[in-house]
Amino acid sequence: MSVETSCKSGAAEKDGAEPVCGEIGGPAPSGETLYLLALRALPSGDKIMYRANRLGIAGSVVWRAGPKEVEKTLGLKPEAASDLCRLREGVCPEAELERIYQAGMRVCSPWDAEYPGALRTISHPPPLLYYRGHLGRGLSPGVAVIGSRSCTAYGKRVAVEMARSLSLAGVSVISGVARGIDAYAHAGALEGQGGTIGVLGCGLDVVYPPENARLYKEIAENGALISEYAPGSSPLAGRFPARNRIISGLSRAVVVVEAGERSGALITAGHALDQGREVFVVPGSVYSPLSRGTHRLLRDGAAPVCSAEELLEELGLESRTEATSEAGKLSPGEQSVLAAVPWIPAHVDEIAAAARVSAAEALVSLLLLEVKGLVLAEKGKRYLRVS
Amino acid sequence: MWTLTTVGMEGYPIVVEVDLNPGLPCFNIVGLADTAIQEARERVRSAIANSECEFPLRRITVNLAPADLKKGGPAFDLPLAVGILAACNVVSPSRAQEYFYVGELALDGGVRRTNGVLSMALAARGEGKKGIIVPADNGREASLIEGLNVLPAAHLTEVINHLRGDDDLEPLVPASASVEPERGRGEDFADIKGQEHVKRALEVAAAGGHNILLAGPPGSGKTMLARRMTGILPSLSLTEAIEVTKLYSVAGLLAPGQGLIGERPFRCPHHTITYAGLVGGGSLPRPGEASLAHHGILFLDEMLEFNRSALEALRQPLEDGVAVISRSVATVAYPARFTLVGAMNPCPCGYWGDRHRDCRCSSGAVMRYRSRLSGPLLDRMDIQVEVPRLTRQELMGEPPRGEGSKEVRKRVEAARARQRARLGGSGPYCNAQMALQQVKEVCRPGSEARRLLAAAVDRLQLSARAYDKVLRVARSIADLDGGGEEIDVAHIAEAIQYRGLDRGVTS
Repeated sequence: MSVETSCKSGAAEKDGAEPVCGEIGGPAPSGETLYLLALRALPSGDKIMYRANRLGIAGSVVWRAGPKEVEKTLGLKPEAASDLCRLREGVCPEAELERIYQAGMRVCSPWDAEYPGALRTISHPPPLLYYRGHLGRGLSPGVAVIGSRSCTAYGKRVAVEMARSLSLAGVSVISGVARGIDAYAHAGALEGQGGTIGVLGCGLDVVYPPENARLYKEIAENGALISEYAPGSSPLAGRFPARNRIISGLSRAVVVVEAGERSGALITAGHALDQGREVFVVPGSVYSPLSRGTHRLLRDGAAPVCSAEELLEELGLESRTEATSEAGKLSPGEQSVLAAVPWIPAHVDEIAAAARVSAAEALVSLLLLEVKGLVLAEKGKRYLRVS
Repeated sequence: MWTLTTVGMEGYPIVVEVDLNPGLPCFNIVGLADTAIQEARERVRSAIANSECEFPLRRITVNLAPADLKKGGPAFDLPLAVGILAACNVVSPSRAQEYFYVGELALDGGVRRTNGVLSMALAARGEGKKGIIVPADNGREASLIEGLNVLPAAHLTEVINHLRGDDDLEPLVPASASVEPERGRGEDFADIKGQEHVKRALEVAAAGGHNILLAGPPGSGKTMLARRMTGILPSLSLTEAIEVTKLYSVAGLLAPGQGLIGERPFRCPHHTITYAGLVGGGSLPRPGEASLAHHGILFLDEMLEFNRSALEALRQPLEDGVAVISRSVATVAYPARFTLVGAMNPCPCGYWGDRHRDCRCSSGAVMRYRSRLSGPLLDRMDIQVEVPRLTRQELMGEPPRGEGSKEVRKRVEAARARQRARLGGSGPYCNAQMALQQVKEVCRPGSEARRLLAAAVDRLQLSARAYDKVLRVARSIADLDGGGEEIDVAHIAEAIQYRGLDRGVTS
């Protein structure tokens, strides 16, 4: 990537000078952020940026250093170092920032005030954070609600209710905008006023999975959508575990709603422990393969949590309960079918046989019970009791 | 000489003009004749020679009129032969003019069966001839037409003797045109173990003429269930049976000597079928599987594996009940009013939603797999049910025998009778075919049912397209119930339960 715009080299070299293009509003990023952006715009700039960050060398130092110095401090090969020095002539830091602004995004680095404080404390904090929305909200206590992409109706309901209650209590809900539990957690959080933060494993302008396009927009409007990857980065498998350290890093506590044996949510839980965040787990059915991962976390010492109220209490926060309960009266038929619905999923035909009614009658009663929130429909026409 | 041909489902009279001229012996046929007719020259020559007559050594010119209609097939052999024999006065020309002739000739003079005789016989009825001479094997088929003298012939000599007045052909007694239900090929609803809610869904589908989609893992009995659906549909009416027989006759699928088809057709094309195979095609358009399933069931097993363009071609027949095939020769409309029964795996591995085995597919893979069925087509599947695999107990145990097809059919017929009374004689004849306006007039849910619908739209994320289908299916359930005109809450609830695939992948 090279920029054609001719730009007086050295314009940005006055440290602390306000960049001319930061007219979108909000705090303008510091000069260091600009240099990091510029470094990243170079070919193999990602590698150089991360290496400099790990070694604790500021972007401006790398940008101004001569080939020999770059070679020594960053441990690059001589030809790579001279390449860097040659190619940076064609890159204008302000133009890079302008490009981010043009795309309706913002960017910050640990040098900026709006960089989330919680992330500063973790090992390997992301050197650059691209975002849409407002990061200011990220500073309120956040709780990550995460889980696997494939989930059961039970997991979906828990995720939505948990996120909604947390959000209603003013807690921002952090998750990964993936399919399944993540998406439901964001959707639940959007119903409250706590806001929600979505951490992506791809560029901010890449919608993955595609069906989340609307969710992207709503999250940016009611919180922030953030990513450490440059715009246009594709959702590579290797990027998601790295993204997970940001999810746990931003949070005070992590709640794993439902996770199979090899779910990425377990990686997030591991990061959370490394970062000193609390890990809570929602118990599931012992028969459900999608609860095997969560149950292993429980065995390893994670704390079980059954409702948002419990969680808020653990975190020392006040809960604001919503008035629900629309159960209403049940007809005798519904009562007898409800009595036949077990607490683990059972097929319609089994329920009909147990309640001694026809399949058609059972279907009718189950739908009415589902609408009243007393049973849940799992895939494959199976039902289980809840509440 | 008079004969008939078919264009699509309809028969058309054709004049075969034969002219004998002095000159070098030769035999020419004009009048947009296809290869089969050109080859008729050799068959006719041998057949006449082998019928103890002499083939005239003259210059023979045959014209098939009207000359602008493309003609094909071997059914012109017999009229050609009779025309030549009349032209050289072996038989009386005036007597020969009194009949229609249809049939293919064997080299030894035998008369072979041909396609489309029922349509031809129907067209021959109003033409004021004394009768129609048909191959003996097509006799029963032609005799379904009342008021037509049908003379079956097995050999050319029989025709010659008849025209000479030596030995008259025996006219067929008109078959008592009644639908004989040849039911019970040993396939009965009572044979199916378990699957109660699927059976109920099939009953509702049969009652309202709804298309139905069965989603279930391999080996869950989807094919078995679909096959038994013909048994619970109401019996064919006489007009329906004649339409079906005509189609099979045109397609050449009637067994030799078969009369009326009394059973609703069940067609299950393989998923490698082409566009033309499914809706019909060919340079002289032939009916496709969709038309052969007319008044019956078109069963598409592994529906997602079908060629996409072939499936999309089904949209027109599903909507209008006809398959229109346009070719340079002619535009033909074959009736194709069938009930579509589709079967599919719920996901690539087949175990999505299974009770005992975990599905290995990611939710993205499941969505991609299902998106092979286009929205508009899914839209036309009024009922979607999941067919679970049977448990071992259900498979091995001796289950109480359920209801037989006969009892179910009685209820279905009663429901259809209610729909006919409501919808009037013309136009749509079942709930699935009502126009949007009619749905509004006819499907009036009670106040409690309306509340449930509203709740379902909110809480279960029921789509707008599902809404209309729910109303129609609820109407059919109410008709099965035998209740009044109002749709109550139970009917709506059951109908909502038949929209399984609208409700997303995760729940």
